[in-house]
Amino acid sequence: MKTILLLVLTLNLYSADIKQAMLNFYENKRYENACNLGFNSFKKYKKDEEFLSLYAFSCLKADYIDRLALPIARLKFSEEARANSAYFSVIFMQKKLLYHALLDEYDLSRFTLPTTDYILSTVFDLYSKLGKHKRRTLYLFDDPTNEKISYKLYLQKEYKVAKMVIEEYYDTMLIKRHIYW
Amino acid sequence: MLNVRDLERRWLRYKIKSYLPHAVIVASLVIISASLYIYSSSASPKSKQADAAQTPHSVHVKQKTASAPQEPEALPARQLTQQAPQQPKKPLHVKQSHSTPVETTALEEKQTSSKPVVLKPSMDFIKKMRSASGEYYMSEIEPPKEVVLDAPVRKKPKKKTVQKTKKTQVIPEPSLAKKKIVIQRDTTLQDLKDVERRFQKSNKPALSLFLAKQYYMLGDYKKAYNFALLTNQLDKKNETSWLIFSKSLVKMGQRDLAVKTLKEYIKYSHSQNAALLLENIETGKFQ
Repeated sequence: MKTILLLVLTLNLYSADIKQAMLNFYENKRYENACNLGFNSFKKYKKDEEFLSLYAFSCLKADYIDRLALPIARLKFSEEARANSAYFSVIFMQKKLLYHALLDEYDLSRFTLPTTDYILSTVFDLYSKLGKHKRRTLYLFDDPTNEKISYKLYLQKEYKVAKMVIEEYYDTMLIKRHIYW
Repeated sequence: MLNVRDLERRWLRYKIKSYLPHAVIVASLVIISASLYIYSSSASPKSKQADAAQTPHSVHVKQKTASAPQEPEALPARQLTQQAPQQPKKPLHVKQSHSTPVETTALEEKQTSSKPVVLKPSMDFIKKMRSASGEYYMSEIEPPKEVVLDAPVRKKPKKKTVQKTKKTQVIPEPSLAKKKIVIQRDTTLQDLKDVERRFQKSNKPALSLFLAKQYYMLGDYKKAYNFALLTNQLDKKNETSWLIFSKSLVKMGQRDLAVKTLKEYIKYSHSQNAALLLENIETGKFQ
């Protein structure tokens, strides 16, 4: 009996420790670490909505958009969870549509979709405004809200898969590179 | 002697047998086509019957609503029984007729409002997690712009220059209960001079690059050019210093030299950022 109690306590402590560790990583902007930690311990805490939300935001900030699929499906039992699930699903859909458009010249101008404050949404909106056009190797967009911020969109073709790259510039200085596939 | 009659009979049987497969094929084709024809012909009259049955039903309904005591004497019993199973169709039919104007107005509204809906996430769960973690996570870590360390020990008076890009404030700890760690970046000239002294002692390209960036941000393009040049001499592979070097040249009015430098750097490094900057300089986007 004592051993069982000890096991339960250590497991609970371990679980709290993982969430705390993820939160620490997230607060310190180490999103990739938080996302990987959540990915490794997903099976154990898949019913915990706080864990799912934190995991999803960490992966979003680390540009692992495909990892949002499971949290999108599982976040449904509270209003906040449903709102976040809708938010992630929009980004996920926009990423897939943009990838399809870049590779297959799919016309995105027909759609009127919700948008978000995430960079992929901004680039998606700017790309869809171009309408039907010939495929280009490189796209340059200026941020409509800030003149100094610009975006560069192109495909990086590798051996098995083509990767979609979005580069964020502040006054021609590269701030961050986002890679999606 | 040959038995001619027997031979003729046998020949006849043989002939019939030889034609038999053809006859079977033709007969099957005829049967299939006939059945298809009958099926198609039976389907069209059924639909006509259905329409004919519905119209008297709708008329029948109208008559009922208009005057209740009137009995449907015109409709025979058989039609009434046939209409009974059709009754469930009525609400669907009515609903469809009413829904089309609503749909059109909704579509019109959608078309007029072309602004996309912006979804925003909810971060309340992080506050809950922090409160659940207790005293371990009391201090709030703010974003790097407003993150401030405790006041430094040195008591030198700070001269505030006109070209300050960021405010410097030292916030003392209010009480033991609320411990806030506040870090502020100091970008005054005094601090830059300190960094310069450190660079003169150590000759590290990271320090010269930092100085080049800071002077560029402050608008002192000559110093930015100098430190970028020093960085390039120490570390030729540093792309950022080459970009700042070129941009400083453009700001000082030496556009041609900047373009030439960038072209040579692009030949050596094939840098995309340098190519982008060159394009911006040549097109006039960057001045």
